[in-house]
Amino acid sequence: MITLKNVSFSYDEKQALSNLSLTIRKNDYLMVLGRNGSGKSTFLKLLNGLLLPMAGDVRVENLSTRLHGEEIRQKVGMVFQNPDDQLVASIVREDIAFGLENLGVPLDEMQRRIAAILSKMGIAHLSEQNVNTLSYGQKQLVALCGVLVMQPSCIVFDEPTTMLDPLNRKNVMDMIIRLHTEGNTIVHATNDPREARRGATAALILDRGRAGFHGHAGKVTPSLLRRFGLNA
Amino acid sequence: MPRFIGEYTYKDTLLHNLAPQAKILMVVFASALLFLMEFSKLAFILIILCIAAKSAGIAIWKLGALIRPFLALYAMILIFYFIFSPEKMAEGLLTVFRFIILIMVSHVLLATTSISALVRGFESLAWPVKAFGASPRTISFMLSLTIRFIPVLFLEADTIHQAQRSRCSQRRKLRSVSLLVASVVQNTSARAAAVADAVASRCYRTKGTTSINSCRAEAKDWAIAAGTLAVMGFLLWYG
Ligand SMILES: Nc1ncnc2c1ncn2[C@@H]1O[C@H](COP(=O)(O)OP(=O)(O)OP(=O)(O)O)[C@@H](O)[C@H]1O
Ligand SMILES: [Mg+2]
Repeated sequence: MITLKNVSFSYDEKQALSNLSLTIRKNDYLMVLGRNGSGKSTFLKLLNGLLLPMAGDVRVENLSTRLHGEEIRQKVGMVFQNPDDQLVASIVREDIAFGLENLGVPLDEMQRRIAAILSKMGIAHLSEQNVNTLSYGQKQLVALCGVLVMQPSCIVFDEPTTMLDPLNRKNVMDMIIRLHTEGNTIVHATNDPREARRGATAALILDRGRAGFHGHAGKVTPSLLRRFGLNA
Repeated sequence: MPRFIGEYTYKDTLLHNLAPQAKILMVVFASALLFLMEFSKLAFILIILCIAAKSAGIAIWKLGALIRPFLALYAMILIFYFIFSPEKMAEGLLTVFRFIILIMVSHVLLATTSISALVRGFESLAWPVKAFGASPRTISFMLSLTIRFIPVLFLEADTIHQAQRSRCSQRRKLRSVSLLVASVVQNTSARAAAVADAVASRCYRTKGTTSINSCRAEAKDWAIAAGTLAVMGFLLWYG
């Protein structure tokens, strides 16, 4: 579904990713591990064309992110670490509508899809609530709704549970695994290998912008993790 | 935070369901009419306003509580009148009374209209903006984003302030203020980048978009607005 070929990226002088090649297949669950500053977020932002590679090519369903950014962002949804930074409207229902408004979805279909996604996530009762009154866990679910309502086939998570308490962390993790079971492709960057190991099928370990390991999730052993300075 | 902002919650009442552009026009014209009215008529308007508020599920004491924040201002107006033209004290009282009603009217508007509905209401009234080439979607998006983040930034400044107070001694108070500003600003630019990423990820564009708050005003909405204004006008000229 997504292919990276010899991809490099740098911020100003700083090389953040170098010569990365890999394929994410349909319905993979790829966990992305690496220390702080190893290039996880940069990698994820290349997947939906938020960042464009300086060298090499990123293709989503054979469309290059260089040319088809808008189309690709519909297919590849993204959930970030801090829910506060992802909510753009003051009322839950209006925030979830944001993506659909951008796509020009007609009003009645918009309302139908919003209601469906809210009840699927079990937060239908929050529909009219002001987002400032929600907990971090609830906000993250709203942010996830805002992405899912656009019906992407791949969902990219950048440390989605870092700001949550254990209960909400479990909620969000259960939801990610459920989305994977339902046939979505998942890319999940985390600093907690145990968390993603529950559902991951593939793993990528980034080490100073290079792929230190890429392979089956089952092959990620404590000693491998320690080799890249990660907690086992 | 001003107490007006963030008071909105949806209820299924006539005022909540009234199209925002009708509400906005009504408030604008009603405010103008208020300034032509005398005590007895204003008192009558106040009663009507209270009934309207009650019907929209707003507690009357809340309207009363709106007098307090501006008490100093009212006192000042009255003192000025007392000093410079004591013979016009009645006029001073009238000014204060109008002001109070005006604030109550704004409160009822903001308590029954979500910010984005307001924005869209303005947007549909402000079609001349389009003539200058500005995209109404951009304007309404910027407004709604600003309103969304004001409380967040306040909260953040407060958290940082407390964190710094626990680190800095009293003597370094001045420095801590500049630290506070620096970290809020720095925080904000990092935050702006994060928000921009999220907005772009959600396919932000300005053309070919639709809106969840379709605020088409129907004949009913305009009829209610016009009816209210007609009653006020009638009261003013024949009452
Ligand atoms: N906007 C930017 N401008 C300049 N340098 C940046 C920028 N964003 C990231 N970098 C640098 O690029 C490198 C990779 O950053 P990236 O955010 O991708 O890492 P990360 O693995 O997501 O880290 P973390 O675990 O802290 O989120 C880091 O050295 C970082 O300092
Ligand atoms: Mg990161």
